[in-house]
Amino acid sequence: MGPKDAKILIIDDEAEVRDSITLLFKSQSFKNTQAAKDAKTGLEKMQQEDFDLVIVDLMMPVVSGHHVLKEMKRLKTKTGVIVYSAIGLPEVFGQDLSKSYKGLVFLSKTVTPSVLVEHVKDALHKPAYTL
Amino acid sequence: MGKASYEKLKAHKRILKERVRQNSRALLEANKRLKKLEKTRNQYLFDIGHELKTPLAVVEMNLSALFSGQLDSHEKELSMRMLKHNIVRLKKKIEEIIQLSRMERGGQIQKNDIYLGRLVKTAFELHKDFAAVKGLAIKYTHNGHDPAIIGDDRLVTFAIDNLISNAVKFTDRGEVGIDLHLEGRHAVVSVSDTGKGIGKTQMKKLFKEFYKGDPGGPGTGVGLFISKKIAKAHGGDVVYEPNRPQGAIFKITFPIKKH
Repeated sequence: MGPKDAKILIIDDEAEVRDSITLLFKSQSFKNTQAAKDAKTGLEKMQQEDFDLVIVDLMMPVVSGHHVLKEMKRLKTKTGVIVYSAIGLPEVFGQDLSKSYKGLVFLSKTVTPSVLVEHVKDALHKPAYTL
Repeated sequence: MGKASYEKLKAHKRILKERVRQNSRALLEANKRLKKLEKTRNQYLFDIGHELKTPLAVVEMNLSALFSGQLDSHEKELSMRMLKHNIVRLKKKIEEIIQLSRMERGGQIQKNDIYLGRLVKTAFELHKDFAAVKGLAIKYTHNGHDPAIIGDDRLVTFAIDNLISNAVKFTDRGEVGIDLHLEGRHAVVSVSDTGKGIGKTQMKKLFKEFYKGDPGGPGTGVGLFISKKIAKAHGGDVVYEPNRPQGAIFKITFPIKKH
């Protein structure tokens, strides 16, 4: 299986962010992309099937992306993770996440699309992106 | 010093002590309020940053996808709709910052003739695409009305646009309805949705500056505050009522121009 066949899950509460990432990835030949509108749906999808990479937002209503990270860590999943949020820092509701998730990539939504795509390519074969 | 003078001095001292105590308390209260204001302002700056970054990211990603030449016609259309909507979102946020600052500086309100029917139609057209992307039905009814009001078209546009934008943003399925009608000497724009509606506890704070029903949710918490202020400055108001069986209705009113 080549990197272009990788299964990628996008978790973001904004429909347009999910659709835009999906189209961006498709334009880069990553065609096996799924999306979830909140943390709960994302975790359900992860229970149903295996993904190679999860791209998750942090600030989401009701349940934050931090919950997804906690669950993935608890389940010792080998799935790669990129946190893609507006703030772009290891911080959610004033809580510092850098100690709990050392080395995890926190990307800001201001990074250019090519930077996001480069991280996706790296994440698919580098263990540094796993929790 | 005589006894009378001594007693007078003592009374003065008591009054002075009480004044110092009152002033200290007032200062402490003022300091508390300032700290709270600073905290809400910082939160606003954080939220506005978030609100600007997200549409910018959407614009950039869609431009990149469109330029790749890899999208089919359906995807191209979706991409272009998102581009259009997110440019509108950015403009709206910039307008919000300008209007908030204008209001705080006590800026003058322009007094021009505004034809509400046309203005509401333009706002409706702006949100049609985003509603379609979300799979929502959106309709505008006016029964042929196009009443004239007197006011500042930029402010009135902002207030009405904000109500429609909120309805589309906070509704995941169902319908957004915009209706323009007359009630006595007022023109009423009613914006209804089939979203979650507003909880009883939220209702009291709904129009407060920087109030957000969900602190982690979208928005900056100033849209409704500004909209109500704009309506009031034009002699009207913004009121909320629950939609049946589900959702919210926001009504904005303006006095009709006297002929």
